[in-house]
Amino acid sequence: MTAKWMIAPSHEELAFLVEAGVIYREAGNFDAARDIFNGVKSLYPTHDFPEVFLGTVEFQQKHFDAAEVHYRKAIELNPRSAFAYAHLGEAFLFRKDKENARTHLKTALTLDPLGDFGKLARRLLEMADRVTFV
Amino acid sequence: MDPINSLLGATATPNYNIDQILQATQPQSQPSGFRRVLGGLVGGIGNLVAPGIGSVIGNAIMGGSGLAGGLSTDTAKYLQLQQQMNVESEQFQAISSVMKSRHDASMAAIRNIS
Repeated sequence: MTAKWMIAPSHEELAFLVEAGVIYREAGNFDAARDIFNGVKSLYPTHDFPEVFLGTVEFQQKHFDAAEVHYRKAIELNPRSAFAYAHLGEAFLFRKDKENARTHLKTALTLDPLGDFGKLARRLLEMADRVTFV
Repeated sequence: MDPINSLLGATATPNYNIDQILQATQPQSQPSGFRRVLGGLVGGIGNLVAPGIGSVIGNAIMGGSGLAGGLSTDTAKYLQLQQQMNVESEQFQAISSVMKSRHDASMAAIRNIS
């Protein structure tokens, strides 16, 4: 549900907006990506996904603590968000905390065993097993 | 830092720096052309003075082991290198599949927006 005073964008418009944010993030234009995802968050304040995308922007800059804050907010908004749990696990993994990473990744896998979020969690779990961080 | 550790260092960052991974999988440097020519010359002259010894010296200058136990040393080296390449290849695949899954998850989140 969007905020009351706003005109709800169509699904295509919203998808376009979020994709633009992802492209900015991948291009390293983190301020632009953050602006877009904050805008999406204003449109959808009760959804988990804008918080997760904001977390990925922080993660990409190695701001793991800030990323975790966003992921946890996303989980508060949607306790069954496999998307948020998978990325939370990823943040722990890159903080070299494999134990907590595994816990969150397994939660994501349980919530979405066959979907893309579960698949991401599975791949990260495989990586956790193969990689020894120095 | 050896290539494996440097690769692991690369995986410890979220940006999955491909350059670092590729750099870590570069073959070891070969002896220079000058060393090869010099080795050939010294080996040839050495063989005139003491047949057999010249080849050993020349081989050593060219970057080979030049000793009787050289073959086993080289084999061990190649086996180690092969093992290292296998490990790096596995890690590369793991990172590559994580990157793909990450992208797929973002796209799925966009598709699921209602």
